[in-house]
Amino acid sequence: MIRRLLLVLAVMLVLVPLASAAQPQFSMAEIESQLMCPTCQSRLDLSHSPAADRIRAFVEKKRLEGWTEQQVKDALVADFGPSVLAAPPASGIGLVAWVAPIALVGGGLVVAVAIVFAWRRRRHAGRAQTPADIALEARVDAALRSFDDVL
Amino acid sequence: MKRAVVVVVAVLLLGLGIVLARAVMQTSGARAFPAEVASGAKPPAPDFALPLLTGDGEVTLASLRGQVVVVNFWASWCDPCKDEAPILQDLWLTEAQPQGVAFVGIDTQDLSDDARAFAVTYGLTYPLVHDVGGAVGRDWGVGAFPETFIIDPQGRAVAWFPGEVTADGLRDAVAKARASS
Repeated sequence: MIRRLLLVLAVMLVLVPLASAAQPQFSMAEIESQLMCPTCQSRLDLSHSPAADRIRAFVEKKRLEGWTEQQVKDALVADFGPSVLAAPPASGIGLVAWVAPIALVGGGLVVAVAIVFAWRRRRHAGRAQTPADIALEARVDAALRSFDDVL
Repeated sequence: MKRAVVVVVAVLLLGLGIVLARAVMQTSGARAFPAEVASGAKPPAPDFALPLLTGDGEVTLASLRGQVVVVNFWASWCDPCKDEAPILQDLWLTEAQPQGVAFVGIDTQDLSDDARAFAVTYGLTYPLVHDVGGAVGRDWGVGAFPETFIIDPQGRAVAWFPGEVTADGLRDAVAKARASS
């Protein structure tokens, strides 16, 4: 009995990985939105050109064979180059596409803050106190002092 | 402080300018080569070194200097390429090869498995290479398929056929290229 159970277990250990290897690892909708049609420069899921149809057929075939998303992408990059990926790789020249927007937004913030500071400093420096300002300041000080006395 | 702001803005604008200029050059400059060929300017053909579609090894344009070369850009999904393939194969076997005219079929924007199946289906026996990433197609300004260029023995592009070639058209262009050498 134990020997039979061990045999079943051994068979399961061999068959389970084989079965899962052939399972699709990703959905077509998922990967199509991450790929570009090389001849029409639009996303694969939005394209129905002959080249896009061939790529779609290739992806579906490999998906059903159990390839991972990365394996499919690597195979397509080998034939079409990195431009087949909708999002550029975060390395080499592709890194520019990721870093440039962040640098631009960051740079824009630095510039905006600097402009606000410069504007405020100019406003303070350029504005001389008038006798009315001095009188108002004295009245406010006196009011605050009397308020302190009451407390 | 003000100077630092100006420097930051200048650097950012310069970076943005470089990125935009690259994009514009890649799109607009690309078609300049076929237009030059069509105008009769005989520009030097951009060199390439591409791996054979089947088997090991590569083909370079420079290695074919001294011969008239027919460079044909194609893809397996392209319908006119299917009509053109038997014409090219026939010309290669019956005329080009015996006369020492080189043929190179550059498969671009294509799955290499599909391209190999195409070559078997149409019985193509002239050298076929795979343009990995499509860079050579871009260098040559290929915008549609098929496109064929005739290169003279000096390495200058002397004729351009956008779309499917005819046997007579290709024969005439090759004869002119041979005569010009």
